[in-house]
Amino acid sequence: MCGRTACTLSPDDICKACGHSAAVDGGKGKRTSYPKWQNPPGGQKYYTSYNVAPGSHTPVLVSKKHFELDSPEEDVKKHEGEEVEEDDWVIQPMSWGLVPHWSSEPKTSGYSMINARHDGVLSKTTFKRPLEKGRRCVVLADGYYEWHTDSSKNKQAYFIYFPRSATSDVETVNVEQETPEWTGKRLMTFAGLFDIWRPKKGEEGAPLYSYSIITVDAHKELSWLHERMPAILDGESEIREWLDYGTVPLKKAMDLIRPTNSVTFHPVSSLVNDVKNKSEDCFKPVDLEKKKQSTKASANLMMSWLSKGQKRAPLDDPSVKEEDPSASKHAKKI
Amino acid sequence: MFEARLAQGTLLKKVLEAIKDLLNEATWDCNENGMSLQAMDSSHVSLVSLTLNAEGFEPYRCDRNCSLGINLASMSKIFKCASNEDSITIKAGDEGDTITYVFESPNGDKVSDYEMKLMDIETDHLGIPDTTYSCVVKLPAAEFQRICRDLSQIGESVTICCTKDGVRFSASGDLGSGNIKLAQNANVDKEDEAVTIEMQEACTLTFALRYLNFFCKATPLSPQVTLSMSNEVPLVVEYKIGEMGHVRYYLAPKIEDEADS
Repeated sequence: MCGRTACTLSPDDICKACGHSAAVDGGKGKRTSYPKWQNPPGGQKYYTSYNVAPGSHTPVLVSKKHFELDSPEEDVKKHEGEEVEEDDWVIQPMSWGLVPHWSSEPKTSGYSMINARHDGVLSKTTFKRPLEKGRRCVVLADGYYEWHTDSSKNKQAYFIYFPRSATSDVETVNVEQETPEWTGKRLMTFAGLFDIWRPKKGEEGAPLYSYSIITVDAHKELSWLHERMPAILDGESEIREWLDYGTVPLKKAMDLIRPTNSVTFHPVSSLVNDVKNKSEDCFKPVDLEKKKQSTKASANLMMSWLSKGQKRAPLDDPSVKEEDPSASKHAKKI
Repeated sequence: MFEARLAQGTLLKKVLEAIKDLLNEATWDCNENGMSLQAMDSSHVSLVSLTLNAEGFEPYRCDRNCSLGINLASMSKIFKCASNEDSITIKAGDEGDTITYVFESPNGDKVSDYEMKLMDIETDHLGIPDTTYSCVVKLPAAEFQRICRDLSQIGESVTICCTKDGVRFSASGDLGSGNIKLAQNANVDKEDEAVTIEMQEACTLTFALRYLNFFCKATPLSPQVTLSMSNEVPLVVEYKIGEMGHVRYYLAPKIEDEADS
């Protein structure tokens, strides 16, 4: 499950961070191209946050073609006004939690489908239909949070993200520098699917774009942390294949959906547990060792205190009453 | 043969709720005096000691002392199948490796029985040392629950400072700090709402709120809770279970500073 993310970059920075290579002059040259930001219809906005919960609008990368089909007039306008070659990708904030196009009222059905299990996306109509229409998207975030439950039901939150040092092809492409190259953090790129809900004919309201993040079994290196993980697309070529629904058939694109181990993580404060806490402290690393030491010191105190007590005789075995000293020594050591 | 029937089954349901989050499994020791349980949580920072006297059950039969190793999460799941009005009977054979719970509706129209496997649990039969506590505070259980919950918003641990004037609970964390002070108030009219302090010597101790919040799951069992404290000794949090027994939680204080230096 993947139900909490951090998304802290401004729209401009997100576009910069998604710079990728694009062919120019019919494939003779290459340049870095940046997707265009477009706000969702209906006045919904994206707000940066260190603690993003489902229901929020967060940036999603999609193929530009979706909008050409949707609103041909707007597209024409674009071509008239701008001379610069348009990027193939568009970033638009969408609502986290898939609201299927057939649902009667977005409010009643939202929030529930924040994740789409890989094994179910091609069999469940809710997910299959959007995918058949090519509604594949890449959800952008700094990283996501996951909670690890230990044997004593203790929950520890971790922040999972792409290591900064790892150079992806998204970052390395650097030819004609119109905009300075992005040197900030590498954005996490989740494979997702989206749907568009539209108000009934004659009713007021704007269409609602919403998405679901596809989840897979956790990679074996990460399964200690949690049994599931989001499907992560690693690098520009994977992103391109996933977005380009026109040339990459669904079946082939589904090969990209698999557990990956290209991420890194660190434990974070329990502040993140409460979605109301939005501060930067949510994703700052914490020192678990210190906490462990403290628990250990308390446990030692408890055991030394208990060792002063009279050892209870097990009820079902009266012979243990005259206990040999070696056993009591053992009890002290625990 | 062991058999114990409790007409007011809801009490046992509450007892299970009070311990199942802290302990995964535990051994119930049964003898002619009643049922008891003593176990530590997995981190060995806290200990639970539970006693249910034979007199509280009707009938109570224990031919031979026995230890029943039980997965408490499973037991709690089964007890959730009992209605609050139902009577609960616990049965175990002398040789068997299972335990049976029978739930009976008040008019006897509906009888359900559930059988569960027993477990082999290694138990350290640790004794609790006789301790004289320098401060004993009695306060409404719901009040204590509220304090623990509220201070959990502020920090991970609470410092309890007990003086003759009253008892102060403090927590601090990233967002700031908070203090809750309760004055002694021996309200004779409403015994359950009284805050009383018996003090030999003032003491100040710090505890992990995580565990106190687990202890507070026992709140429905009793209107009052008793906190017994001495410096450098585990805290005792006691809830009486009506006339039939008690659940006591022991929690080692935090000694973070010493560990750091």
